[in-house]
Amino acid sequence: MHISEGVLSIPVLSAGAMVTLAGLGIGMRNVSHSEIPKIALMTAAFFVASLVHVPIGPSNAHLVLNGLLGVILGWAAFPAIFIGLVLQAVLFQFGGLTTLGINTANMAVPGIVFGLMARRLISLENFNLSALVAGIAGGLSVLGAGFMVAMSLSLSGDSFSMVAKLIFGAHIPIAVVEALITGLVTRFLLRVRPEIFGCDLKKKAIGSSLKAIMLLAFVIVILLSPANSFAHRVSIFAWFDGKEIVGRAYYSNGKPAKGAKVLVHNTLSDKVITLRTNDKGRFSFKVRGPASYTLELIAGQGHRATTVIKINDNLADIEGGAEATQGYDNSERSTKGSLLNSSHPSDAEPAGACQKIERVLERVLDRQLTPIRQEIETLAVSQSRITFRDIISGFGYIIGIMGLWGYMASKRDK
Amino acid sequence: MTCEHFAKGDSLFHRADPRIKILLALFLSLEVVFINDFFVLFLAVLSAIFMLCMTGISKVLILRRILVVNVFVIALWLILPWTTPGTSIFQIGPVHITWQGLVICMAITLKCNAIVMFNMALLSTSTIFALSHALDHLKVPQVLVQLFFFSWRYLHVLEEEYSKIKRAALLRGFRPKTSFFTYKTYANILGTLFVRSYDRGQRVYWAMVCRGFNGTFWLLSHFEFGRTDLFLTSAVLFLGLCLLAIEWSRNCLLYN
Repeated sequence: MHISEGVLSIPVLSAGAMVTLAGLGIGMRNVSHSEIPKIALMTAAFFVASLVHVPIGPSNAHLVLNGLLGVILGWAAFPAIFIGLVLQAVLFQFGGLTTLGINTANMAVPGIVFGLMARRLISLENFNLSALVAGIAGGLSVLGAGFMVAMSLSLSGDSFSMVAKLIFGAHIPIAVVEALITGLVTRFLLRVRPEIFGCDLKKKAIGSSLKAIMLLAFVIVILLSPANSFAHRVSIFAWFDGKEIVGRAYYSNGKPAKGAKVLVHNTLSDKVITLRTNDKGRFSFKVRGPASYTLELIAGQGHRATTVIKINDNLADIEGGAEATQGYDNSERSTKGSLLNSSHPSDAEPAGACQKIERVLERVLDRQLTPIRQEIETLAVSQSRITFRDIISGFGYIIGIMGLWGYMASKRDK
Repeated sequence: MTCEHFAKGDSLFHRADPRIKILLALFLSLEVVFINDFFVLFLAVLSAIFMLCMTGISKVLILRRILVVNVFVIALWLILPWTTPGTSIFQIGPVHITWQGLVICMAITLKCNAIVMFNMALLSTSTIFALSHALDHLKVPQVLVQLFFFSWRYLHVLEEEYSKIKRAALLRGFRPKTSFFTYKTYANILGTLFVRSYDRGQRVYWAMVCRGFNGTFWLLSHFEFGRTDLFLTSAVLFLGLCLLAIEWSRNCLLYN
């Protein structure tokens, strides 16, 4: 995916240009003049291959093949992709001079990182495994490219965050097809002309199939873990409104936790009350007397959150500190408030006018505090919601670690 | 695959020294990226259109190319106006169209089209051969220039090869669908393409070694910086400086 001219901000453009300059430097150091015709022909082949439109459901997409390029050429993929983009810019006006740097970096960096990793595991021993590894590298490279395009857009301005999300989403089906094609092409090339991979595949420590499986598992776990942990964080938020404890349970994406179990422990008795949240994730129960109530939310799959509410004799200290047991950021918030509580029979002193005033006051206060409570509640929800940026930075860490690994691997190769 | 449509012709831009054209294209592209004023961007687009008219390239071809380039821009027009936070101008259902979103879209459209048209007039009017020659003279690393040149040289050969294999597959009743079989067939076609280009690259290298290739391309012909080039350079530089000056003066007016 190319980003057109005039969209990105200047810092993003120059960062991309710097990365590309560095990559070109490393890439060209690894190219001897005897390899130039070969690499040039592969570049041309990839240019042609990227014009191939493959059907995906009702529509079709053109292949990117940056992963395959990384698998076959290694570091030389950087100059190859750069030249492919220069040719596209001059011949078709796709991309352009100023975006050349960032576009090259977006495509080449994931391609080379995953390609170099896959290269170490490809062997003539096991075609299927090699194809699988290369296929995963191909799919991840496209996802990585989509992610980097999305990131360059969202770093260029807040208004692009929606476009960035859409673009990343559009890369997902392409990544699947790309993974299939990369794997199958690798299998074909291993059978027909294994020299293309440029290193002696037989001499490799071939007990590597176990290593390959472990790496595969590692990659899959890494890919799945953010999705899992981001999806299921639960929070509970509750307050005392004079007669009842009311509250809400919600997931980290802001959706209510429907039908979740809420266990209420109190210091008055050992009895545990079990509640269920309704369709809006709300629950409520009548308070028996002054005590400390511990609400424990159980939302299935071992995801739970707790909050404590202390109710004093005639004051209700509300401590709504929800703690997610997943152990990410325990966004600490405690809203302390005190509400008049006159409904208790124990402090019903002289009856009459005084009580009446209290009741009126209570009603007025209640009416005025309700919107504030709701506001606090929505604020709490929005604070614990995981934003697109968090996900982006999560992916960023993954790619960073993988990049480091790829770099070390390439050092060891020499 | 005929890609060098625009390189045919005889105009000021076709005759000018490609070294100068590369440098000028870089200068103008960078300048447009830095400009933020709508009036100046508009002027830049106008001058780009004027330059394109001077090249004498067929208008239909140019328009078709620009339409394709603008697909991405159109996509932005569909999304940005309602996703950008800001003051809303009007409302369609739950969607607010914001002023800021429209401003960003307009700026992107103008910038993108100005740069594309400048590059069309300056770069696409040279053949790739002339451009790689010029890049070599501009001290771009030889490896890169040679890669560029060879890739271009064999692009057509491989394109032909690919269409031959594809035709063979179609003749045997291959119909692309969303199926594993289709992907496998495409993978085999691509694999064949890679094997053939790898072998061809090997043969090309041996042929070059036989003729004494040692990693250097010797430049036998040199470009001359003639009167046409001087004229083009000064005209474009004048244009660029004017745009910068207008941008600067309008900024000053706004702040005072």
